[in-house]
Amino acid sequence: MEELLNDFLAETADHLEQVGTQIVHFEQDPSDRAAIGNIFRLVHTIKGTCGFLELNRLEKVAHAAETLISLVREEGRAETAHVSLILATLDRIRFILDNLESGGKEPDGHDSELIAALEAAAASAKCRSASNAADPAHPATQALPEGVLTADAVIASGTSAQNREPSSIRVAVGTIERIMRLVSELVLTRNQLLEIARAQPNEDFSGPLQRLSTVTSDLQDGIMHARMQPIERLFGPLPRMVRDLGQDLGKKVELAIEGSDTELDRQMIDLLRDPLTHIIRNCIDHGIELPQDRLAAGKSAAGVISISAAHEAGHISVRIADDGRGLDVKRIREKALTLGLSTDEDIARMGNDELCRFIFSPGFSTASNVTNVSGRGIGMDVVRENIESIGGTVSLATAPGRGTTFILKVPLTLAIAPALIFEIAGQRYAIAQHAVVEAVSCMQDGISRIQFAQGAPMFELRDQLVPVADMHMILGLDNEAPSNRLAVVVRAGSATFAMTADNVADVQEIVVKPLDRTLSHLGIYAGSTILGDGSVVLILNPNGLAARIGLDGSNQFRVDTTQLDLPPEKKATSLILFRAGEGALKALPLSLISRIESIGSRYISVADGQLVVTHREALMPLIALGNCAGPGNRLTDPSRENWPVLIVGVGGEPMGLLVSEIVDITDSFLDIDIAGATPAIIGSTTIRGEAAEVLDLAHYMKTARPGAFERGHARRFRIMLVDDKLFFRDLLAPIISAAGYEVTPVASAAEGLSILKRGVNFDLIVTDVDMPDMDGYSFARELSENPRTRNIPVIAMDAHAGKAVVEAAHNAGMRGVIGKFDRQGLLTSLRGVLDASAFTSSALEKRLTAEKAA
Amino acid sequence: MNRPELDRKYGAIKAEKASSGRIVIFTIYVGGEKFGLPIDCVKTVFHSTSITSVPLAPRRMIGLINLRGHVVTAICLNRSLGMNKAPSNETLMVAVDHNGEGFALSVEKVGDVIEVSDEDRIPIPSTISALRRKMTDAVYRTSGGIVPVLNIQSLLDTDSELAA
Repeated sequence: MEELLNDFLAETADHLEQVGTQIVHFEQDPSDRAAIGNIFRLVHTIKGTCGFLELNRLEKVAHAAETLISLVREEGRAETAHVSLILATLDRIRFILDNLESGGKEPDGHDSELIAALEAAAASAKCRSASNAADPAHPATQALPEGVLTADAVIASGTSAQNREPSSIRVAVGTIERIMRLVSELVLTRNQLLEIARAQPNEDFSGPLQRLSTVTSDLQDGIMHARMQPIERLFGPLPRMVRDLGQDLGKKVELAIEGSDTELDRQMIDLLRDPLTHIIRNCIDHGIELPQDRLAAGKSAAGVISISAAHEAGHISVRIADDGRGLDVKRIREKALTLGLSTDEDIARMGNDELCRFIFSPGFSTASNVTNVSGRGIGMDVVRENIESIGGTVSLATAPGRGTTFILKVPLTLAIAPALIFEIAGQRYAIAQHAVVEAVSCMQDGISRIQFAQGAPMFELRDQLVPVADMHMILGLDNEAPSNRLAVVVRAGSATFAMTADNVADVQEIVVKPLDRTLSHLGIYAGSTILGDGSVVLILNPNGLAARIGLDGSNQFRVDTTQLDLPPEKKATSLILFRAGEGALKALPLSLISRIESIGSRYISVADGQLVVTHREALMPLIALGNCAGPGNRLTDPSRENWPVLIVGVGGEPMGLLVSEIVDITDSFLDIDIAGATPAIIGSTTIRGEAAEVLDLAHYMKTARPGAFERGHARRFRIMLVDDKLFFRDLLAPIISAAGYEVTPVASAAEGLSILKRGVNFDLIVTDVDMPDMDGYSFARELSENPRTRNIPVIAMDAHAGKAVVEAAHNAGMRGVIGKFDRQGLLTSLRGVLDASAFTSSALEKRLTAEKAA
Repeated sequence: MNRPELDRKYGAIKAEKASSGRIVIFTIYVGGEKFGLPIDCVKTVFHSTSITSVPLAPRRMIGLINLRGHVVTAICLNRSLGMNKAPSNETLMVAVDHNGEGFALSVEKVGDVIEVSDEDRIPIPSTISALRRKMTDAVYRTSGGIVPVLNIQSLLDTDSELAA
């Protein structure tokens, strides 16, 4: 709580400072909509946060002020008396915050005068706008009650005591950025030194140089890590907030949280807080029905809001799903008409999905009653704005009567992002990888070729015509474009287009550096970056490119009404297609490949019968797939200069798969038609009408990196740890996690069941037996009654694994009992039950599909 | 030459400036002519080995350079000053700092650091071209000839873009 309060104070202080400058504008020009909008947001946020920090005084002031400010905002003009009142409110808020900071609690006293004045002003303003008779001759100059402005509270300077002593320190982003920049430079220098050392070997230097090299790498990791924090920080306060809101509204709400150990940039966490809070408030207020309505609709009385976070190809996706009534499309249509968001004919023609987009428009709310929680038409537009400003997307899926799911997708960090590096006319460019859908080769006379529709280049991609941004044309390059090019399919907001590139060079993590004003005005560049070899490359801006070729980027969000992902649906897997010598096309899930490199034959050699390559100053094992290599691992084509190598990171130890040709990257369903006959192949499938063999990466990992494979293999098991006491969850979860398993700590059997109900798979459940509401035995019995969860092994856990407990556990169908303090016993049991030998290639296949679907 | 080296070579420039109230300028040669830059904004002099060109950028922008981990925009002074002669090579750069942003100005060669006083200042001759006048901050008469001091702001300004 302490930490939360500190965060709240620090953030609100920042926000107040911003608003402070705008107050001046607002005072001079009360019709300044941006200023009043900002003040409104501040007050709204304060009100929202106060709710669960139990800052009653502040909440009352904020609530009273919000009503008036909201009216002023709607009217677009304010009277002097209102301006003074709003200013007085901001001063009062500052006063209370100062006291909170110095004393740790709200100051004594009350604000009833101020609140009464605010309410009176709001009432009179409302009544005026309602009677629609704004009489300019008699402006309702509400006289300020004595003492409102002159209250002792107005200015409390010099009370900002510095006695908060946090366990962590706030470091300015600039400082971290600077350290990062210096570290990048250090890395470059280190690489140069290593290069020199290789050319002129010197014994005296090699030792210290090696140490310098390791320390530099560690430093780089460390500084990256300094910016990362578990999303727990964001999720931590949610249960309380949900409970309180539910109680306020007379609704029963259960919250299921998953993936709170997902790490992302601290800055991102801060930026996600407001959007997430707004969405959850909306879910509870609008989404979840009252208990009696739910029962009438045949649902359980308690609504479920599930929030999960997960890493997803360089992104964090945060999913907020409720099982409530879904969006009311009819009301949205009516509201859109009243607000005149589009022409009547257009709205009449619109499908549900298009209509749902309107909830992201400013000032849109379908709630007829303004409640304390939501319904003021602030929220979804701000959510969208905030998320898009950090390069993320908001999408939503809704089904009437079944619920609504919001998915926020944001990059891991703003500072470092994976980018696709490609070449155009001999110069390299970068584009953020999250914008790239796929890269397809296009030949002038091939099936995938660029065609022209009235002069506009189009590209045919699986029966769909995609507009093309011809980069040679856009960049105004004189060089003739090569006939054999790549089409990089890029998504910018809702627009999809193909960008031409001469070839793809690499995928690299890049640090985005801003451009100077003149260059950023060009629109097509998002920034620049320095690559590992020290060269500067420009980063292209997908939105700018879309605008260049005339694509309307206004609908920046995708609405998906067809697939509400309550039960995990099977989704397409991104596959990398390649050839390895003769024979069928080969495929591997792209998620397993960390990157692709072209490696010169001269760096490849045979050591101890195994192919190796010098990779980042270390030897990396290499496996020649298919018949790229003959007996004795001799490459079949010795004349070839470069080989494409797929790099796989196995528990931090990379290995390479040498192939003869990368064909494509595609999204395809991983339907195994014919199970594999050899251990290296999971099976065969059809991809775009061609047979392809899906390789079993596990087989190669075991061959090349047996040690790392074992560690990486444990990581694949998901364990649910159920214990009502936080102490034991905190004690045991790290032990299980340290052994390499993925562990989800859960506070009650009910919570565990709700996570399982949503289709999340676990390989093993460890549960405390003695818990309130539902004990471990009933939990195990309930699991065994459900065909879906019947096969998940359950291990009981008790402080004293006595005879009676063992017997009861056996009767409940549990697989064993362990003592809570018996660390070794716990790990032995886990290993015993999750026997590594059960990990067959078909299990891997199942897991891959499940992972992709989840 | 970086700043410490400059300081070593020419002494503590800043301190000198503060005490005497005289102005210290860093001279450069562009297209055979001598110009001055305010010493305060000059960070370092370097040879650029690789420049990333920026398609669609104004012509006076040569491209982007990695200057010790910072990306700086390189500007061709010949073009900015409306000289017809394109420089034979654009590798010698003077790094300048303007409002916290880094830029590199391509020069033919660098000259001495000279000291001038207000008495040496002459009005900007009205006979020089409008573009040049815009780029000039002040003109000083020195023992080594007339030295116009360039206005960094105008050199970097987008609006001052003129076809060279």
